[in-house]
Amino acid sequence: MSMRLFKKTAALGILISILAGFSGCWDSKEIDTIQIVTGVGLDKAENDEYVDISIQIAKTSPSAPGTKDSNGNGDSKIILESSKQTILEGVAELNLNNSRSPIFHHNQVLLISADLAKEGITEYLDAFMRDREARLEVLVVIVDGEAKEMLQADFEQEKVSGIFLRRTIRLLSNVTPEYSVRMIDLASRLRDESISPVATLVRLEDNDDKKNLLVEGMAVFDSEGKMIGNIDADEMRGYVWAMGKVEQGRVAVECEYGRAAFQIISMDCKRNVKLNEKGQVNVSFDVDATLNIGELRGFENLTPSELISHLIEETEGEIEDTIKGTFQSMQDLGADIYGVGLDLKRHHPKQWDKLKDRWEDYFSEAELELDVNVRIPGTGQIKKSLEMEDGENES
Amino acid sequence: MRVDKGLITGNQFMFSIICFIQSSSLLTSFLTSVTLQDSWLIVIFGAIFFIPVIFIYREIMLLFPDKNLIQILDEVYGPILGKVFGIIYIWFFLSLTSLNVLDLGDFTKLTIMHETPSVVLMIMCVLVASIAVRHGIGLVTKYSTFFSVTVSCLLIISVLLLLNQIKLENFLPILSLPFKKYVQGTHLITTIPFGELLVFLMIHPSVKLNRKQATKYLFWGFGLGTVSILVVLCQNIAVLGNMLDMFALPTLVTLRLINLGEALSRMEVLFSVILIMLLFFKISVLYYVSVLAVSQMFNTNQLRYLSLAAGALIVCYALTLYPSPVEHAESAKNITPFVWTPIEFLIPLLTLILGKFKKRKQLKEA
Repeated sequence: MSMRLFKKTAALGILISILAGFSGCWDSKEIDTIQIVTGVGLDKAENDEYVDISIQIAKTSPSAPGTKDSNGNGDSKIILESSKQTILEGVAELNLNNSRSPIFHHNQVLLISADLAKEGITEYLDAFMRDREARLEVLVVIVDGEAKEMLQADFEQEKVSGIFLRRTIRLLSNVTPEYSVRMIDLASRLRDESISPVATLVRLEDNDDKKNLLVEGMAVFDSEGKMIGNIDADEMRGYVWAMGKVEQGRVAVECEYGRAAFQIISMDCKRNVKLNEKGQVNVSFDVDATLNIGELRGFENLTPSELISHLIEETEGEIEDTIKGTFQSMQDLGADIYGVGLDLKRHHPKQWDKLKDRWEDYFSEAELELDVNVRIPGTGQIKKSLEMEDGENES
Repeated sequence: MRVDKGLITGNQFMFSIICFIQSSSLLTSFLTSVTLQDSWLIVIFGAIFFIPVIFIYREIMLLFPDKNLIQILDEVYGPILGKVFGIIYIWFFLSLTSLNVLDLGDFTKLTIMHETPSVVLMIMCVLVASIAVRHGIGLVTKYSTFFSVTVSCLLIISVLLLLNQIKLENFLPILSLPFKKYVQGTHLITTIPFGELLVFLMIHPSVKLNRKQATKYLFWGFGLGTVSILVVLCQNIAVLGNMLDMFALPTLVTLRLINLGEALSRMEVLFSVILIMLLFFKISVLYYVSVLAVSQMFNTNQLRYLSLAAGALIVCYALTLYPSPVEHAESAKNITPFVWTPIEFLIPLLTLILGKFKKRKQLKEA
C-alpha cells in the first residue's frame, strides 16, 4: 500500500471513530425519559413561606384514537404537586421522585391563584424568566380559585386544560390582543412604573358534572406586583375599546324605539395625554368605530335615514359610557392600566419625571375627554327589519 | 519579508469587513444596557464618529501598501520602540481572539448546548479555525461572502416574521437619557465593534488596492455592516421595549417570540446558526491575525507550527480571562473601551502622521 493511500485510510478511520465517539450532546434526553409539561400552577400554601406548585403533564403514551379508553375514562394528563419555598426546589423535588424528567419547553400557561397574586407575583416570575427552557411567550393567567383545580379540570373540547386555556385565550385575542398576556408583557409592565400590569383572570365554573371555563376579565396589579383588583367582563369592554385595535365584538344598545346589536368591524382609539395649566393630567381618547348592524328589534316608526342617525347617536353614547365607566373605576383603584403614564413618559419625558413619584394620585385625578365617532356603513344581508312597515321605508 | 503570500480579492475583503461587524450585532447587550431604546441612535452616532478613523486606516493602508501593521510599526518607530508597540498589538489581537472564543463558548452553551462544558466548545472551534489559519488568508476569508449573505437573508426573514410584534412606540422617548450615557454608548460602539476593524491593517497587504478601491471596499463593508447592526438593534428595541436590557442575548429572546399561528414559532435555532457562523468567522480572522503578527515579529513563515500553539494559548487565556459572565459584561462596559482607545485610535493616528513625515523625508533624500 502506498504511503499516500495509507495516510488517507488512516485519516478516514480517525474521522469515523470521532463521528462515533463524539456524536450527540451532553444533555441529550431521549423521548422516553421526558414528560411534557403543559401547564404550571402556583397556589398559596398553608405555610406562608411556601408555595404550592402543581405541574400538568400531558400523557405521551399512545392510545389508539377512537377507542373508548382514550376518549372516555382514560385520563390524558398527570398532575404532580409539591410545596417548597422556591419554585426551583419544588421542580427539583418533582424531578427526584419521578421516572421521567419534566420538560418545560412546551409549557402553555402559567396559572397563579388569585390568593397568591394578592401577595405579589414578581418573585415567582423570576424563576420562569431565568430558566433557559422556559419561554417568555407563556401565557400568564390568574385563576379566581385554585390553580391546581384548573389544571385538573376536564374540559369538553380539549382533554388537557393547559392546551384548552391557551386555545381559548388565543381565540379571545382575535377580539383584541389585550386579552392574551404573555410572560414578557406582564414582566414589561411590572418593570415600568408608568403602566399597571394586568393579566387574564379566569374562573372554573361547576356546571353539574361538567366544568366550564369562564373568562372573568383582567386581574389588575399595582407596581409591586400585588393584585389589587379586577376588571369584570363589562368593564373589560371599556378597557379594550379604549386601547384600540379592536377587530371583533359586539355593541348593544337599548332605547325607547327598541333594541339593537352591532358587530364591531373595527374600532380604533387615538390617545393624547397632556398636562393642562392647573398641572392636572388631561387624557383624551379619540375613538373611531365602524359598526355593522347585527340585529334590530323594534324601530318601527323610523325612516332608514332617521334610523341610522339615531343608531349612531345611541351607540356613541353607549361606547362613551362604557369607556368612562371603566376609566372611572380604574381611577378609583389607582391603577393606570391604559398606560397613560407611559404615553406621558414617551412624549413628554420631562413632565413625567416630575409626576412619576406620585403617579397614582395624578392618575386618579386625571381628566378624561372622550370623542366617539361611529360609522355604520353596513346593514347586514337584509336592508329592512321584518317589523318595519313598508310604507314608511319608501319615503 | 511577508509571511503569508496569499492574495484575496477586493470583494472578499469587503465581505470580511461586513461579516466582522455583523458578528458584533448579535451581542449588543453591552450597548443596550447603557443606552436602552436610544441604542439605534448611538449606532448612527458611532458610525459617524468612526468615519475619520476609517480614513486613518485607509491612509495607513495606502501609505504602506505591502506592509502589515507589525512591519509598519517597525519602520515608523524604529526596531526597539516598534517591537514594543508590536508586542502591545499582539497582546491586543490575542485578547480579542480569546474574548470572542469566550463569547462563543458561553453563548453556544446558553443557546443550544446547555450541559456541554464550554471548554469543549472552545477547543472544537479553535481546532477548526486552526485549519483555516494554517492555510492562510485565502481560506480564512473564503466563506465571508457566504456567511454574510446567509446572515443577511436570515435577518430579513426574522424581521418579516416579527412584523406583527413590532411596536414602534417602543422607540420613544428619544434622547431623554443623561448626556453622559450617550457619550459612553458612542465610545462603546466605536471601540468594541467598529474599532476592531483595526485588524484589517494586518491583512491589507494581501489585497492589492488602489486608492479608489480601498475607499470603496472599506466604506461599503463598513456601511453594510453598520446597517445590519442597526436592523438587529431596531428589531430588538421594537419587539422587547423596556425589557431590552434584562437579557444576556436580546436577539435570542426576540427570535424566541416569533409566533405565527401554531406552526411558525420557536425560531431561535436561527439565532444559533447565525451566531456560530459569524463568531467562527470572526475568531478565525482574529486568530489568523494574531498568528500572523507573532510570526512577523519573529520573522518566521512557519504559520503552521505557530497556529496550534497559539490556539492552545488562546483557549487557556479565554478560560482565565474573567471569573464570571457578570464581570465580563461589567468590564466590557466600563474598562475595555478605555484600554482599546489608544490602541485603536491614538497609535494609528500617530503612526500615520510620523509615517507621512518619514515618507516625505525619504522622497526628498531620493
